Amino acid sequence: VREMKEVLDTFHLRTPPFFPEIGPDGEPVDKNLVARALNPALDARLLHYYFDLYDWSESPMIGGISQVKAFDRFPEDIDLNQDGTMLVLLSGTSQTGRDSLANLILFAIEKKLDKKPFMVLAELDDLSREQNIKDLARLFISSLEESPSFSQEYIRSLEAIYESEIKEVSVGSQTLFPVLFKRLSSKVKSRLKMPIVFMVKGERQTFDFWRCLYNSTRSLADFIIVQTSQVADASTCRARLSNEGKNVAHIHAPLLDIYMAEQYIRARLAAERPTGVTIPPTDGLIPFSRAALDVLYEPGADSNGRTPKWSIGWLRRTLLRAMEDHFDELTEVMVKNNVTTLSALPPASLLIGRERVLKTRRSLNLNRGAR
Amino acid sequence: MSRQKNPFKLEAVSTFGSSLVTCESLGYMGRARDELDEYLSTYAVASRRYGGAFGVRGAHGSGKTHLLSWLAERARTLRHIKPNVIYAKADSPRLFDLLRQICGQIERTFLISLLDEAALNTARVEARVARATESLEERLVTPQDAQIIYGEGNLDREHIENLFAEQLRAIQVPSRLVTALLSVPDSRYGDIAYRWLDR
Repeated sequence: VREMKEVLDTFHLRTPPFFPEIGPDGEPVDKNLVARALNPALDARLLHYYFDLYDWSESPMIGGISQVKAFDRFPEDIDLNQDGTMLVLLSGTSQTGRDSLANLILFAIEKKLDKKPFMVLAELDDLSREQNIKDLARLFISSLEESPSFSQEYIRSLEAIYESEIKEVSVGSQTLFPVLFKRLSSKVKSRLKMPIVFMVKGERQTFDFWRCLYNSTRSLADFIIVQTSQVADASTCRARLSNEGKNVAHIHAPLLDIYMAEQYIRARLAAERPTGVTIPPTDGLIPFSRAALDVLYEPGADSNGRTPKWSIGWLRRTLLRAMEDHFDELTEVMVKNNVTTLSALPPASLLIGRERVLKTRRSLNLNRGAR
Repeated sequence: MSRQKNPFKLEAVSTFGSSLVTCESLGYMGRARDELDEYLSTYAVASRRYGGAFGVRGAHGSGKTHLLSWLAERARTLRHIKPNVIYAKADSPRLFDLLRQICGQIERTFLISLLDEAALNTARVEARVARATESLEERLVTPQDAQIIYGEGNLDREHIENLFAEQLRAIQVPSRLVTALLSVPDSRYGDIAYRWLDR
């Protein structure tokens, strides 16, 4: 512990920047909360760890990460058209910050309405659009069983509504069982007194389905958040609903190119410098050398002209592990050279270099020595 | 100007799969056989494997279908390699119909293994894009290895699946067919997707 503190002090860091143990207020942070997707509802200090990598160009109403109020822009009731329901499409693959963004939206809803949202998490993977909509209604009803406001008898009355309404022929492929959701809404909303959020995942769905989902359920849901890796479909869905005057946003969580990666590393390191320490911009990557970053974006021997891009999760894990490996190495060098302080070592050897990062990556690639 | 009368029978002279009495000494048959033999002999070594194609041209009744039947029969009798012979007739302007004819002749289990192999190849290609991930390739031997690597977070399953789907769309496979095809391995809905392809 003493050695780690000395290494961190040498690099003007108060805590490991890619796995912080000390929060911005100087108090410890629960490791479990920083090891997975950020969720500020569990600890508001996690707002400080968001990095604004997101593409907000198709999201005029929600945008800009704020470490104080979650977002610089978040819709007020007056901003919303028609019945007020908003569809937020979050696109991106795993580890890109998509889940963290979904949690941030839930946090912002809670802050805005001063009420915890009632969230229904639904993985809708059926090939039938109709079945997916029915599944969502059933999931909603079964989720209410957890709420003390709803007796078993009341739940049964909702199930009866479900059974009677699914027999009705749907009005079209763009709206399915709208009466079911209207009836559920009139029975539930006055009792629940919480904003209703549908958090929907499903990799086989397309823009047509999400449009149908919005049209079908908007009488019940206040927010519908869709998480998908299908960027083009999300973009098309936003354009179509937007043309119809619906409340819709599409936010993309992209893979990071070298420019964005550098911004991320600089921001994270700067956030963990002790108060009063000023680092010149030229040293903003310390303890990483420029070559350590460059090698992560070096094309492979068989890249066919493609430039690598990485998810923020992949990058964070690589940088964290490279720092740990480097610090272990420095400790060994100190012992070997029989010196007691890092300042006794040549300054160039203190920085994390190209070879160190490549070795770390190779070790991670071979799943060796997982920490 | 008077329209020329078709000199050939309207019905197909030969139907694919019927028993054959043939003459292997014809030069064009030998050339087709040699193509098939070369394709199958290189197939055994993954690094030499290639996607082959050859065209057969001839007037109605000249023996095109007969040649295909003969090649198929020959392929089925080989001892060292067991090729899957699939016959599809391109008599519709829609590529979709052709693809469904092909999918309909592949067992679901085999289709899943083909999809797994293709996704594995996409993962290998993706690993080679960056110096930082090149060493993953040596671990990408079977489709199961890819699943382990996705679990470690060293490659992203969704990203690879998207790339694979993009590759399919790039060769003009209709979007609905891509969705159904990629759903075939799914334990919940794969059977429905397969039946849709097979109907």
